Amino acid sequence: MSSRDTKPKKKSRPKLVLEPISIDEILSGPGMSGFVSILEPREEVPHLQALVDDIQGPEAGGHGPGGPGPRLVGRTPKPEIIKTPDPQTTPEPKREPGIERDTGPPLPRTAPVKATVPQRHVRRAVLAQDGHSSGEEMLYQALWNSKYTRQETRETKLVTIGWKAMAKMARMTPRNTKRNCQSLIDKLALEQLSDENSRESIGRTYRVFSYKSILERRRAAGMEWITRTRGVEFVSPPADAPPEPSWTLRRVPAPQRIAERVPEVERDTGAERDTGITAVVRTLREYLPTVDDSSVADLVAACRQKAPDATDDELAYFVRLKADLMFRMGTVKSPMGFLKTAAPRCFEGESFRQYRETEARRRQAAAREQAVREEEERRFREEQQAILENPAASEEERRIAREYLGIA
Amino acid sequence: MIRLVVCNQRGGVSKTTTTHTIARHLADSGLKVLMIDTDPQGSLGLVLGAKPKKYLYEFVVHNHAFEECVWRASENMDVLCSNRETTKAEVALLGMTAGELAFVRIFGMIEDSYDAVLIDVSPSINLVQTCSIMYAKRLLIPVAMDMLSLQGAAACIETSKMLTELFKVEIKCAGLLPTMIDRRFNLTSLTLKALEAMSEKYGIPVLPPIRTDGTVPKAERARKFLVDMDPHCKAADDYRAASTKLMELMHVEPRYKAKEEISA
Repeated sequence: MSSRDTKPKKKSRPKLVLEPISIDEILSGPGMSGFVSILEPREEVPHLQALVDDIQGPEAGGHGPGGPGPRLVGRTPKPEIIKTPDPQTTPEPKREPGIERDTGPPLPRTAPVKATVPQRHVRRAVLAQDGHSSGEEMLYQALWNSKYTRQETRETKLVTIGWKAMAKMARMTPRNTKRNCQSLIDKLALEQLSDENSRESIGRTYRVFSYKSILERRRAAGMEWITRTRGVEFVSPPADAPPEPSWTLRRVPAPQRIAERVPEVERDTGAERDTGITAVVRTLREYLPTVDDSSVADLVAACRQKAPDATDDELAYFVRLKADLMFRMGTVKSPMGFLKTAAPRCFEGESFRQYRETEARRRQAAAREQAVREEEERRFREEQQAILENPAASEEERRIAREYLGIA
Repeated sequence: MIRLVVCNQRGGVSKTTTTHTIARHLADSGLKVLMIDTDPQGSLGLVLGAKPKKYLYEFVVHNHAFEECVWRASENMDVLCSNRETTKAEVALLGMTAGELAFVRIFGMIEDSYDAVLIDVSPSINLVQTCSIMYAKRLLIPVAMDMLSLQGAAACIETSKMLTELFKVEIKCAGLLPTMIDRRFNLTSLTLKALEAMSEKYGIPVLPPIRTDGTVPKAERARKFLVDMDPHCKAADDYRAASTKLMELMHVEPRYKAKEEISA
């Protein structure tokens, strides 16, 4: 027996036989669910928040939303006054008189000034006027309604005016006029387009924005919270401020909103369009410029589920009713969600039945009135015709009859 | 017009390589191509050696001019790069109603000057990816030869189906692209079989496979396109075949013949 035979043979490593991969196996995996959870509204996690709040002490180093640095537990930071840079301290490059400024698309960014105010005095500026002191509002009104203004767009007017004329118009001293004018510029209600031309006695040119535009510009610049001091000042939002409704696209910091520069979204339009959808879209576009058809279709379907015979007018009426309510509330995070919940409820129960009865009565009354009017008109027309045919009628009566009947 | 999202919800399946190599082939075919990187890791910009002044975040959130944000990779090819601030863009989009349609609107404005828009997305399920899918409505799914990337591909397909149902927009998969093919491994044939099954189940074509090639990482290191590094390497040949097939599927004719074909 040779030594070769005595050595044990080295066994080759057994090959592992792999099973084929099946689609069902892949699709049943734990990672195959909840793909579009990102589209669902954020969930509140108060218990986690409470835990995190406990950690955020001075010793924890403060990695919270306030950024690095120690934070005090239980104390909310006071809001800071927002002021645009003072034009006296930040000199602008010299411009040729009369030459239009490049106002450019980006809105003026505000530089926060470290000055805190008591939190209890801070409130949200709902209207553009809320951000104005009485003097500023008086000056704004004077400029907007001035005879010197000329309409630029639907939302803006241009005015070229000197200090004296402005002061006279606003009924205040030139000194106060200058101060209020600068405040209005800082508060994004006015925009100076060109400087005065002293040689030719031409005043400065301003662009005066409508209340709606002012609100949009302020929102874009983050100027939404005010405090009343001697005047009105914009402040940073307080720590416990309620979240802003997320459905305002006005937060996009650009003068041209995304919604305005968009082509229509491509959609499958195989099915015939419901006229109810058109009516509701027309109504909702006043409130939500970016409302999409699929959401509206769902809304209309939900309403029709409650009342299959709901008319377009009824749909539009109740959706408008709820949209108005939603705007007044100002705290609704998901507008379409709200409408989908609230609007269909209007189409059920005794209240809806009574609404329809009232509407039917109103329509009947209107129809009766119309019929009476038409009858009266017909009768009067016949009388006038009879006058024309009557040889005994005076010339004056004939003239009136001819005029009424439209006969030359 | 070609609008494609190159996506797979699993990482490391050659999404970025596929994006820029196919984009380069389209550009060589005479199409004007825009590549958009929505991955906060900025891989596309890195492998191309891009040095843009501004990024996707500035374009989307701050509405900066597109010309300032885009970086010209070659005569026919522009790149809109990403950096970590893209995550901030996602936060901004989360605060919007119908934010998932934001890219439809934003890129709809600038796409007219391009014949093809390719979007490289991050390997995760996030809103930017959803926005990209909603914009492009066509998916190209690279699949590496392992089970996890198969699952990532299935996840992408399911996501597209859900978005189709949710938004009533037709979102389709343009093709499944097998990548990193090494036929020496048993798992490769298994994965290819599973891929074929997936193709049959969902009715998605499988594109010509891309073989494993050492030139790919070298080209990335050299900050070059694959065809510039070695126009005749295995991967370049395979990508050329895949791109041609893709153009056929999307009914796009090349404007002029590729350089290689002319020189041949």
